[in-house]
Amino acid sequence: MITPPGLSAATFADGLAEMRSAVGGEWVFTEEADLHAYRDFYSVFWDEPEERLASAAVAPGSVEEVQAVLRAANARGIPVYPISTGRNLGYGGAAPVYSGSVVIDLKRMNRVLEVNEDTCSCLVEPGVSYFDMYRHLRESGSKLWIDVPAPGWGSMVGNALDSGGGYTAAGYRGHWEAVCGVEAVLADGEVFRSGMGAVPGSETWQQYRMGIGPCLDGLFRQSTLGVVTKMGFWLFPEPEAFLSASVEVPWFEDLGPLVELVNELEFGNLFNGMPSIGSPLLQDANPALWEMVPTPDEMNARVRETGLNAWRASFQFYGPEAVIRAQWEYIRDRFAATIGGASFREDEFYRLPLSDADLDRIFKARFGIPNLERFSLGSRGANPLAPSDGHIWISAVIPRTADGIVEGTRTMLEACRRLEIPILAFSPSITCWARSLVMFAAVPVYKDERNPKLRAAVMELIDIFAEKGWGEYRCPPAFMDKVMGAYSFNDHKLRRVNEQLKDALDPRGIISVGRYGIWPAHLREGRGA
Amino acid sequence: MTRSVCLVPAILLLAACGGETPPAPERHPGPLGQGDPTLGASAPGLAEGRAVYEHWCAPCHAPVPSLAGTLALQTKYEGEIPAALVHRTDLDKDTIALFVRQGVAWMAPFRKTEITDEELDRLTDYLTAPLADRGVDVAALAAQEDGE
Repeated sequence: MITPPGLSAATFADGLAEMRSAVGGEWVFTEEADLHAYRDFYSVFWDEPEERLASAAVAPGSVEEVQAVLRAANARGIPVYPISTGRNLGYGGAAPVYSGSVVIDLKRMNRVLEVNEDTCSCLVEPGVSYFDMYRHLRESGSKLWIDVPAPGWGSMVGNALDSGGGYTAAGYRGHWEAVCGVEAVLADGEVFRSGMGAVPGSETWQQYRMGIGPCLDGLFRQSTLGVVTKMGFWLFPEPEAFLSASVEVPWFEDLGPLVELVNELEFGNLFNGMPSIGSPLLQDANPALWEMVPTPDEMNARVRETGLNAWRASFQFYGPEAVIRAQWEYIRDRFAATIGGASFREDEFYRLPLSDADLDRIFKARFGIPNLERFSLGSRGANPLAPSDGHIWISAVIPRTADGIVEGTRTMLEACRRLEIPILAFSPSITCWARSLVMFAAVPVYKDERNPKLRAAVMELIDIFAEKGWGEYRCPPAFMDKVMGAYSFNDHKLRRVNEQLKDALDPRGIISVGRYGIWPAHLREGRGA
Repeated sequence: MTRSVCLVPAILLLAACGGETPPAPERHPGPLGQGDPTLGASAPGLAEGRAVYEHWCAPCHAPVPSLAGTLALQTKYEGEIPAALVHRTDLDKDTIALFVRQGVAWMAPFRKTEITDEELDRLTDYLTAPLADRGVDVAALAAQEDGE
């Protein structure tokens, strides 16, 4: 059995005994067989000495039990690492960032506490998965949709806390953007509520996010400051219809006006779904994997040779049919007047709610329907590379401009070629989050000797991005220090303020040690090493 | 593969033609889209195990060719063994439990907070029961296999 670093076996055993008495013996796990399931199954440290392993796992079933666990840990300086459903695969899974931590597994706290049909909001516990919530809404005949990421077994709370994204309307698909109200247990065991949740008797916790004074929800995003036990979300009232339509433009030079117009139209609320910027030419061989952006002359020559257009923007609309068809007509007119040679196509139209037959035809996440179909990316059948043991994501925020897309793609693909980083999927232009582009690559991971080289290569890639002013929005534990290091304005003031907050709110440094590069004072020098 | 069980009846709303605004559609729960839509009724004693299967396994392993687990096993066994978990008759309880707790390929292991030991026991009872007891349409499956 692993003992947390710096702790005597007796102290640790004493802490675990107190946790057992709080949550029940069957919900404290210390056997190796049980802890295997708390390894990061996609770890780039698999079976190496640096692999981040839990010393134990404890699964409280209520806020009171979370409080008791934190008090037991805080009294003894036992590091703890909360997980929600533990399915943050590609970003650390169910494993801690700091070896020897006790994982606080919140999966048992899986209650949907409230769904308010009138205010289109909900309040849930961290163990509620997208599958759970979807089933709850459908079985109760709700008019509301959730927004889901590709994998439906994730936690609404956990994915929002790690800034995950989905595919429906603006304001919902950036999951942190849809949060309204946070309850967290702090290191000392006290319960904190943000926003209007701080007003006793308030009925507006899920309506007005800010409350009074500094808005503290952000303290718990990608953080080390508390264990979130409740979270409110705004939900999307089911629209009457869905329309997906696209415009293609022929030449390399058309990308600038295309991106500018997409931006104006989205930020002017002329469409509400997730736009997509792609390239029929560069995604011809594999829609999930962009090719290198060639020079303008080469690209235009290939356009002439192949008959494929250089660029495509697609638009998703949710709303009454008459409204969304009028919006599409307006968008068509604007492109026709702006870019010569633009062509248009209506791709999909559905009246809602969907029929069962529709389910076979759609990309379910666009309709807030959770699934695990994206994992076919890793199946032997759909995978252009050899079967892998998992994947990690590389995801940098780049400028939402034509230059951003071209420079992002060239930088990424050139670096991956030089550094021999294999890629399963790549797009420079993911638009889950408001106003931004995030450049995404899925990198296969193997449980073998390739990992040290992969880690070094990704470290270098993060440096290359940083030199261009690009930072990652999220990353696996192996790269958290490096990624936080790139946010270095004014001698790493961001990290230093985070450390001051850490010292103030968690002075013994027990919660989520090392997560996103924030270490407690006693481990700060070596950054956990 | 066709969906033989309609989990929630669908209402197909016809478009109103002409220039008038159509009335807002009636609210309706929408399709569940979860579980294994190919299964019929299963034996009464297997209900709990089937529920575990439908919640935790079916999203990747139901008999739908595009699903991650089904696709992976189809490619691995090239049809020598059924690609869908619920059609397999070669697995024993311990083997299934081993894969659940150990994980394989992209399938990360399942923790006891997700599937308890008792639920795992019910699940493996279900997945080792005779096919007809699981709710599999045995005649249709045989016809499909003959056709391949």
